[in-house]
Amino acid sequence: MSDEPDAAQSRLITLLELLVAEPPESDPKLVEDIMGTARWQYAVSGLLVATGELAGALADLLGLALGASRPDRHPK
Amino acid sequence: MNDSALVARALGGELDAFALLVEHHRESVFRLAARLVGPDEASDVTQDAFLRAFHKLSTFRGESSFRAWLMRIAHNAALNALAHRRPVPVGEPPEPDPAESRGTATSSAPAAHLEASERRERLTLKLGALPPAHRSVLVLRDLEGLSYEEIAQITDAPLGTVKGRLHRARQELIELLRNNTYDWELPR
Repeated sequence: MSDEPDAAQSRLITLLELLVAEPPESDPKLVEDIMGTARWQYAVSGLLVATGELAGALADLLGLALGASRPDRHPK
Repeated sequence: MNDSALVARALGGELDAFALLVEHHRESVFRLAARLVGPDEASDVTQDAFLRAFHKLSTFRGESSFRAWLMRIAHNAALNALAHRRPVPVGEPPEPDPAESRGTATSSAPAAHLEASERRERLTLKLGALPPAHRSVLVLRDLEGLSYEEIAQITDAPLGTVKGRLHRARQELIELLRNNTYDWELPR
């Protein structure tokens, strides 16, 4: 298949220039909306990571404390 | 500052760097979305695409341009929106009435402007009638001017498939326009 457009396709490409000349434009407020959502999602994910890390550290600490206080059941 | 540097800064937690990326690429993502899903859903798809990109930023390896990477995400978000859309009743929406448009023209310049506007409306309608996979290739090539290689990356299709789809998309659109009452002066 040739990459070169035939006469009808060339005419179509010329017609499509009409759409290229007047593209749909976004609302400038869109950036604000996107960044507003991105900022709170970033904050929430940061909070979740911090909470997870804290919970992990507490579990480690608890494990250590219980391990240290548990009497040895099988003395040699 | 180039896109790669902005990505690195955004990954370091600088949200203002990501805001600059959004600002740089807002129009091209919105145009693609509007041409694939229509103007009513384009803002939602654009927002969805940028937020997906934000959360996947660490997966950007720089193997393609940031623009191509982002357009791929936007393309997928648009196809996803189309897939979840309720089926519409068969039949095309009414086309603009040329007599009505011309009735308001008082000189040749406004008449030409109205005619161009009417043609744009009709073309947009016909473009919307193409299957999504064909429409996206035609939009990316003939409206956005991207290379075949970039389109292959964005649509995740081999180069030969991209060329084949583009050829078929153009032929389908030509047939749709030929079956129209309006004379598009398309040679046989």
